[in-house]
Amino acid sequence: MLLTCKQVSRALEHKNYEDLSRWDKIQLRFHIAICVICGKYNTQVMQFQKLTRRFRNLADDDRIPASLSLCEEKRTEIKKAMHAESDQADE
Amino acid sequence: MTEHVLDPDIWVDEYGDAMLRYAYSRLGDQAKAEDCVQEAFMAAYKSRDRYKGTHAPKAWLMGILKHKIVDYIRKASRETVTEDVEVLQAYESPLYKYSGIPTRNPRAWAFDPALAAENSDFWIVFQDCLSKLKGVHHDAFVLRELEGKSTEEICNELDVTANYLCVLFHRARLSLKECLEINWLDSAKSE
Repeated sequence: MLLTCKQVSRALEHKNYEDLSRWDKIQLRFHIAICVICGKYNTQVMQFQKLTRRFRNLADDDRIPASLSLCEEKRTEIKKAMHAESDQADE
Repeated sequence: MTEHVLDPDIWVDEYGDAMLRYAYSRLGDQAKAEDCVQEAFMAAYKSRDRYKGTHAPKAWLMGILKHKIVDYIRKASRETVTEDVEVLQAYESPLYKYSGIPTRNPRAWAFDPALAAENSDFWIVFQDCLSKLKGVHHDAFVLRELEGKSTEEICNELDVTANYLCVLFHRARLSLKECLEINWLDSAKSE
């Protein structure tokens, strides 16, 4: 039942903490709480995973400046390319 | 009757911005994001016969865009993966070999991440720092944390070993943390 540091690190490298099973979470937290070798390191890994999970669940509007948009030239370029494609198909 | 009209002009005007922002959040570079959006539109247009009109066009376009982004990352990293000396050193260290942890004593956070997370401005800084991650570090981190890919998939896509990938994640976290500390504390001070 006792995990090694390597198992703990590997578990966190392969999965986000939130996605682990409840039993795995308990074992992991137990190890990290008492371990002087990997405790600090893996605590930070978990803090990072919390942040990134939250970041992932944000709407794009909450993390990207509103000014970012497709510029007029690019818009026209894409439209042209698509029209060219359809003209080709028609021929 | 089809609810949604398949008109490229309308597509680009209606969904172009949303797609660009999504691509930017994954690639961290406007020019690359624009390329991906264009490729996605072209691919969508070529296969427009397969679009049944049952889903909202945005969801369909976004699905295509996601594939294009992963393709883009894979292609880019095929060209650029070079073994990073610092990564190799961490990877060769006895501590890492025996315990799987690259460092025993990481520096403590200069601010409280849980507290910062409650502030909406923090996430703009976070996105910015994520965009600044370099090459393969950025790709590995995005594929794992944002696209939710498994270790095997990422190793295949970036053509690195699982061990090397672990150290890449570690390095990515380190740079992200450094950048967050500098920029977040700065913006907190200026308020």
